Amino acid sequence: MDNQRIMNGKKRRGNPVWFFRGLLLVVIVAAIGGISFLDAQSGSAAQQEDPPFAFPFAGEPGPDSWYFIQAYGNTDFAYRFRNSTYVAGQGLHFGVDIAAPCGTPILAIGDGTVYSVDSWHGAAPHNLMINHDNGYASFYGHLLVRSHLKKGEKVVQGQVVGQVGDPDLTCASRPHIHLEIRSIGHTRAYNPLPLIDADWERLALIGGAPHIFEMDMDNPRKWQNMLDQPDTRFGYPLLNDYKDAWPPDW
Amino acid sequence: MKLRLGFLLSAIILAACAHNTSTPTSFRLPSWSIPKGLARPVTLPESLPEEIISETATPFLPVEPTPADPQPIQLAEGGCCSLPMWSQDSQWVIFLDEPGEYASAGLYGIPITGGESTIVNDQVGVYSKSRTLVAYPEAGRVYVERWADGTRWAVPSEGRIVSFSPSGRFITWAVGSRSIRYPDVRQSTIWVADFDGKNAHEVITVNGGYLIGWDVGEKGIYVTGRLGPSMPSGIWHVNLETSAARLVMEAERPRSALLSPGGSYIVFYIALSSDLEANGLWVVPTDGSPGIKLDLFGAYRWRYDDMLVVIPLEMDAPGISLWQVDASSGEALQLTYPELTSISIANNDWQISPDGRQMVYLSAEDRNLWVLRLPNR
Repeated sequence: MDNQRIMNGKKRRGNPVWFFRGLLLVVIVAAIGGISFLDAQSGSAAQQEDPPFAFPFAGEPGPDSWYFIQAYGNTDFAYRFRNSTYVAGQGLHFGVDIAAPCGTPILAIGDGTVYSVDSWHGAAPHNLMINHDNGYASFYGHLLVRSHLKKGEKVVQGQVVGQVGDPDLTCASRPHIHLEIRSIGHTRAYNPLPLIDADWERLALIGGAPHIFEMDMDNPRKWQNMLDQPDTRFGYPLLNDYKDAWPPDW
Repeated sequence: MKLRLGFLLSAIILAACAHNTSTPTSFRLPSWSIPKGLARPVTLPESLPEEIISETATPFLPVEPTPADPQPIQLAEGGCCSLPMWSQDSQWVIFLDEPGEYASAGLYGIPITGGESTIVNDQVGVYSKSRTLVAYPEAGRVYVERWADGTRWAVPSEGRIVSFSPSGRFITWAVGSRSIRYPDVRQSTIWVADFDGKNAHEVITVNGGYLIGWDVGEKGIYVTGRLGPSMPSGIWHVNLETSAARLVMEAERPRSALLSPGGSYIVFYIALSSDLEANGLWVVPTDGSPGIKLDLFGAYRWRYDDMLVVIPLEMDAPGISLWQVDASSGEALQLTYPELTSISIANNDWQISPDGRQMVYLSAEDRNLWVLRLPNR
C-alpha cells in the first residue's frame, strides 16, 4: 500500500501529463481571473466615454411616461433587505429600476441573441435575458406578459422586447422594469449606469429627497455615488453587512 | 505540487482582481476656490487693434460672480461628502464623515466662509433641529442623548430609529411590516413620545403612507396614505391627543412630500396615475385650501415658507437651471441659467440653507460639496 502510494507519487512527479494538467488549470483559472479583472474594471468605472448600450425606453421622462426610481448598488433600500430579497446579490440592488405604466414598450439596449425567456432568474412575473456580442448580457425583469421572443432569436438595439409589468400584479402598485447588465456567464452583475448612454445624474433629479447609499461608518465615503458602485457576484457573501451603518436598520 | 502552485497563483490573481474599489484618498483641508472653466461667451467686434486682439482673441472670457449670475464655490475636497445638511444659523455645512485614518467617524462641519473640516460630534445619529439632542441605536435599543451634559434616555421604540419634532420636545417613530410588496396597502403605525421616551402613544395607523412633518404648534402631524379601507388616500392632518384626522388634500399616492419651513404648504408629486391630469408636481396649503399643480416637474426643496426651488427635469436643456416657484400662485421665475451658472448635482443630493440664501450640493463632476449663493430675482 505504502509502496503503491510512493510509486504513484513518483509516477505523478515524473509524468508530464500531470504537469500539463496543473499548468492548464493555472491558465484556466488565471483566464477566469483575467475576465473577472476586466469585468471589474468595466463595471466599476465612472460613466464610460462611449457606453455600449442604449436606454430601454423611448421618449422623455416624466410623471406620465417613465422615470428613474432606484439606482444599482449599495442603496439604503437594498441594505434594509440585504438578508432577504438581495442576499443572493451580496446585499446590493443588482440592477436599476425605472418606473413606467404597465404595457410601456421596453427596448433592447443592444444587439444580441435571446438567451432565455421566463427563466429561473426571478423578477416576476416574466423576464428576459439577452446575450450580447460584447461580453455582456442584459436582463429585463417584471415584464407584464411573456416576451414574444424565442430563445436563440436575434434582436437589434431599440427593438421592442417586452412590456413593463408590476411585480405585485396590480399595475397600480409599483409598475417598473428591473434592468440588469450581467457577465455573459450571468454570474456577475455590473452597474448599468456607466454602461448605458444616458445622463443618469439628470434623470435622478426628481422629488424632494436624495438617492441614499448606505454608509459604512468605518469608511463613510465608500460607494456613495450612483456611478461608483461595486460589481455583484451572485452567491457570494454580503458586501454591505456593516458593523456601524447609516442610515440604521429598522 | 504543480496543482498547489496553480491554485496559489490563481488565488493571488483572483485576490488582486477582487480588489476593484479605489482606496479613499486622504482628506485635504478645504479652501475656497472658483470653479475652473467657468466662462461666459462674448461677442467680439469685427475689427480690433492688434494689441487688443492678442489679449482678447478668444471666444470666452473669465466671468466674475455677480448678483445676477452666481457661481458655485467648492467647499470640500477628497470626495467629501454625501447627504450634507445645514446648521440652524446657515453658517455651516454638516455631514457624516471619517476624514482620515486617525480620525473618528462622526458629524463634521465646514463653515461657509471656508476653512477646515472640524468634528462637530462624534456620535453618529439623528439630530434635533437645534442639534442639542441626538438619537442613535445601540445594542438593539435607541437612545436619545442630550449633548450638553451627556444624559441619555432609552426610548420605547423597540430599536426603531426616531426623529424629532422641530422644537425637540417630541420624538416619533413608525411601526410597520418589513416588506417590499404592495406598498400602497402596507400599514404603518405612527407613535409619538416626549423626547425622553415618556408618554409614548400611538397616534394613527396609515395604509401606504408615511409621516411628513409637524404642524407649527406641534399639536398635530401631517401624514400621507389612507386612514382606513373606506377612506380616501391623500394628505392628512392628525391631532396628537385625539387622533382626529382632517383631509388636507385627496391624492392617490402622494410621493416625496415635503412640508415648508413654516408649515404653511406641502409639496409632493403624483406619477403614473391613470388620471393624467393628476400626474405632476403639486403644492397644497396645509389649511385645506385648494392645491395647485405646477407647470414644472423635477427635483424640489423649500427655500422659504412660501417659496420653492425646483430643478426641472429637462433632458434636452444644456444644463441644470434653478427655478423659484411661488407656492401661493404657482408663478415660476428662473433663478439660474446653465450657460452662466454651471451646476452638476450627483444623487439629487442638495439642500437649501434655513435662511434661504444658499444651497449646498454634491457635485456630479468631482463628488465634492459645493455651495451656491441663490440670487434674489
